[in-house]
Amino acid sequence: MTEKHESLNNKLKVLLIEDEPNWHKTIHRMLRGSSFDIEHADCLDVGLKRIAEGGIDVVLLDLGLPDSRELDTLRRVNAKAPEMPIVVLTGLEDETIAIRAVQEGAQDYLPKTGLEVNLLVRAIRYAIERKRGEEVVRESDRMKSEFIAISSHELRTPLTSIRNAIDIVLGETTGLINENQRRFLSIADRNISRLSAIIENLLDISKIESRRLSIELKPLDLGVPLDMAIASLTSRTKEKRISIHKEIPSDLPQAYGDSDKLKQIFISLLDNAIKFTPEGGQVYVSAKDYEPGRDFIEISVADTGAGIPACELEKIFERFYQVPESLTREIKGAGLGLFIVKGLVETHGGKIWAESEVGKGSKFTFTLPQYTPERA
Amino acid sequence: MDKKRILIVDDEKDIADTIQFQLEFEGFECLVAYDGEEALSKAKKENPDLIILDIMLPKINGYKIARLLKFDESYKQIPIIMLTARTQEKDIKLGEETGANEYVTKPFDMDMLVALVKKYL
Repeated sequence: MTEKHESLNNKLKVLLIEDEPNWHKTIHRMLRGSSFDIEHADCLDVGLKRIAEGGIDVVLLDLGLPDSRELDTLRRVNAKAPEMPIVVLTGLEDETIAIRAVQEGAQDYLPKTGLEVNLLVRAIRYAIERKRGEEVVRESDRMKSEFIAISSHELRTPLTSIRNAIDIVLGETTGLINENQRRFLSIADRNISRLSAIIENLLDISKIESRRLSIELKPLDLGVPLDMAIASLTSRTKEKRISIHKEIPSDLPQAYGDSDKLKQIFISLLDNAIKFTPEGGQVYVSAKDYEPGRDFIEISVADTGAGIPACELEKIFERFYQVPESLTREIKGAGLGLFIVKGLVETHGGKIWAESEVGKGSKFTFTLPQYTPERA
Repeated sequence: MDKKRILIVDDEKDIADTIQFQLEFEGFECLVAYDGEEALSKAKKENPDLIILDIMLPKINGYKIARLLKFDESYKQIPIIMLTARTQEKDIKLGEETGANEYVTKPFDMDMLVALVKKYL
């Protein structure tokens, strides 16, 4: 049940922030005999101070005050009291602003003209309930992220023991093993790596979604994270006899990015490219100055694989996207790779898109900010 | 030459056991501690050549142990390899600030851990 259940001696407290004394009187009169207590403040400063003292349940806010105008008024109340339900009072002429106010966090708005008791009471109650609902959603979102962070920590610990135990036997520390023992322990080992990768991905996603992904921007040459990514995929490229061609101009400006995250982006895109390219095929990585003067670098990873039909192309960056079975016979992933790549690119301030021609291959292109002295 | 001595600190006995087995196979002598207090007292009493230190420990956490040792003239030369299941960037930074020499995320590759140990011993 609601925790702010009002009773006769515990009325809900409404703070009216409004500079016209006539409106003080009007609102007062309208709420007389209702279950609300009303207080007023004739400028934003006084109102904010009153809110800070506590005990206010809902704010009726005029946006045009002596010390604050328009949406700024709302933003300042929101910043000081993010949990406060707000009903914006507007003149007839500024409904556009009223709607924007609701989009920016007010719970409701009321035109002053034609204001009636029933409407006022309803709006106040609605604002309180709506705010409560918004808080529940926010809280459950926060709990979801926390749950992912904690459970991934809890999952890693047993995974470590299993991996170490397998490593010991597989590394023949406990004595020689035969071919079949090696084969099946390798299966276990490989799948532990997959499981760890999934946990990493889930963590990344919870960080991207809660906007807690932190990146450390530094001027860097793209070739460094690219080479590290290519090196970590050597066994995959060897297995399928795929060659990766780099076309990076020597005068390419430095990027401004996080080296570890860029490596992660390259690994993910190259891994996909390898996955969808037939044996003996080619993968190309190229980079160029993106529209000179725009301070961005454009990087592409292209494969010579099956390609992606146009109807799929717009869905591939979505969370949990799975390639239709008809396009690949490889083991499916969790559908998180490209979603994370997009999150990583966007956290850098860049964007990513894909082009493809069925039967010829696909090309993923992303932009990254160039390093300029002003950016540092 | 005497065997090099390594102190392994992890409250997960299974993890401590596997690390101990592998390192003894590689020719090191191992001491094990399962909580922060035991770790600190063994580190000071036995003065090991290297410490493998988990972060989330009962009683005293790994960051604190690393800091206490790294700011103590008598022990600051002991290399410390931190182990953690946490991968928040801020945790890694915290680890670096305590003066730990290496930082390894669980689950890790045993060969990689052995290679890191050999880098210091």
